[in-house]
Amino acid sequence: MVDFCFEIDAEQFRVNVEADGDGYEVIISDRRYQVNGQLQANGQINLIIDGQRQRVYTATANNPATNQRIVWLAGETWTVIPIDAQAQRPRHTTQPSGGSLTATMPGQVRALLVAVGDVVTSGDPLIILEAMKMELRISAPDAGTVTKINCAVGDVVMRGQLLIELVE
Amino acid sequence: MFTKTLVANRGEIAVRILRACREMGIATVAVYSEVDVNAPHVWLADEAVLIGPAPARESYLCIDKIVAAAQRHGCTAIHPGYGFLAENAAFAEAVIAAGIAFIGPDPATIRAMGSKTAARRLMIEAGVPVIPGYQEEGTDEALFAAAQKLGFPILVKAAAGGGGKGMRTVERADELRPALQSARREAQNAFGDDQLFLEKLIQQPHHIEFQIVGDRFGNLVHLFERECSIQRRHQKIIEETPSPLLDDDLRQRMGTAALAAARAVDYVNAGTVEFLVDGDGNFYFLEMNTRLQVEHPITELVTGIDLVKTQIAITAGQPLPFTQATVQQRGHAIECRVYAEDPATGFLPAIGKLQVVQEPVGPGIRVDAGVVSGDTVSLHYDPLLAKLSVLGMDRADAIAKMKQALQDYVILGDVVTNLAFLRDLCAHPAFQAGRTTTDFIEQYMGNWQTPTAAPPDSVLIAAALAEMLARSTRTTTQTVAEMGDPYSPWQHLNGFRLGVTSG
Repeated sequence: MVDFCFEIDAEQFRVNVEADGDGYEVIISDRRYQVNGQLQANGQINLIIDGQRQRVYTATANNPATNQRIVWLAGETWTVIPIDAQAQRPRHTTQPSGGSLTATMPGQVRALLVAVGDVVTSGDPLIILEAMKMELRISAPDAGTVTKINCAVGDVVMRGQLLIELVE
Repeated sequence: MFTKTLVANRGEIAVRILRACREMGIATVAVYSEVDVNAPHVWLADEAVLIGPAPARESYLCIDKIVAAAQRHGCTAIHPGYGFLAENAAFAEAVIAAGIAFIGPDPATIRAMGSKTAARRLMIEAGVPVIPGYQEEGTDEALFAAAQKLGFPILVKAAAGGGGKGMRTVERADELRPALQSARREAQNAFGDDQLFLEKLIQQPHHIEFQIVGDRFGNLVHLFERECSIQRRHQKIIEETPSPLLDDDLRQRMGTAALAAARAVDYVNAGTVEFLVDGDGNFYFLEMNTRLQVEHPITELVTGIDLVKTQIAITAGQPLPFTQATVQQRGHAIECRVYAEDPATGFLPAIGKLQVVQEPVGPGIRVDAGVVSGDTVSLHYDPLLAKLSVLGMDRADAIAKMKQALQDYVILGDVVTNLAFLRDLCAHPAFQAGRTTTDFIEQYMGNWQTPTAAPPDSVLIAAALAEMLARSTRTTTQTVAEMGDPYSPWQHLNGFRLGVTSG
């Protein structure tokens, strides 16, 4: 018997799988399913759940840090984070208070419009990012003083990367 | 006919052109940047030439390297595709100067239409209606004064523009100066030219364009319209033909205007005349694209004409094999552009590896894809993954087919796609009613989010069985951990059974 815990959209789900003859018995909360599954090429799984055929696709995201699994079912995709029962996976890192700014898309830093020590007001443009020929302006969410700049013009930054730190 | 053609592009359009060449018995040469070494177009061509590092400025935009590659490999023609150098008159001139045929219009035509301001002037002379605007002087001060006179809202546009780059909508006078600044910077980056002009904003317009083709013998034919109003960030994401807006009378008048626009520049080869059409059926010349259009497949689907092969034949000196009287629209075609981007967060582009790509198939479904499973989407190029086109008996049938095809399209990996967004858009009553104005997405889809309902149990079951398999393969296959690629065992264990199905 194997117990899984999955996180989807910040909600946790427990799934219990037990070998049962040719297939498996799967228990989710108080719901029991008889399941057969066959893995095909290209991430496809042919599932038969209580006699109902369902074609799903699955892949793991390339970034090993996030450990995400993506499941496709009937045109919807779900991002599933398996949570190890022994080692609780660290939660999303929360941003330090005081208003820090992360890259909202991956891209290249085109221009830095402020320097450390500058006082900015809410809405002031701070950084111009460019990706795939699109320009994105990163503006101050609140008023504050720039305490740190973690990128330089020409840098390639990833989505979620901390670019600028502010104190109010 | 040409013996060997170089395709100066990448992605789906390079694949599209390479296929046409192969079908015509023309040998092919692809060019590629360092990150594209495994891209589909590289493997489809007979020969492939590395032309530089990933940034387009150092590879796909290098005229010298591309012309040199064509000469070295004995090419007699170059197809530029769209984007990159397709509307660069200097490139066309360099190609011709090297004794190689350029598959596209004459450099003088490209130059005349490349400047939106020059094109406006030409169209006014040719009697084609243009949008009220200002283009006499390009300084901030002159533009500011002109904007006050024209009245807001107003559009700031790049003279060398295209694809919405260097373009800003300005609602109020105090927004004008920052808009001019950022439009200038974007135009400089995208086109190497920061000249701007103004146009009065036409409220809730339809964006409707006409495909035209002309040969060296003075034959000029339009291949009807494409309705391209569904846009985000001024870039089209859904196109269809026929337009739900046009009746036969308006279609004929716009077709005539499109031919007049083309004739004004003695147009040869395939091109597109774009119009804005307001709610009262007034239409205005917007610009002319002197190249193959991204959305050309829907015209091919309803007319049965292969535009790429037609371009090649025209360049080789052949006359058009059809006339205005013999071409017709049959059925209804729709194209959806599948992008690596997140519609829930303002369509921000996504990059990363595509683990699984499964294209929809069926009668009347066409996929022009530039990626396959295992490819990586980089931040260097457009986030267009594929174009999904369908041909139905009528508009309702085409929409139904498109919804199903979008539903069946699987793309999984690090990147988010707009597939679910496109499907919901096609299902929207306003789209089905044909209310396709350029503000459609803000109007009807602005608050779109991925579904937040609890996942069906099938998703959890699939995840559990997939995890189980991944664990069992980790303990039995030593190489998996070493490779650090959790996807690889799936390939190895093709057909591996989780339990046993009835077979």
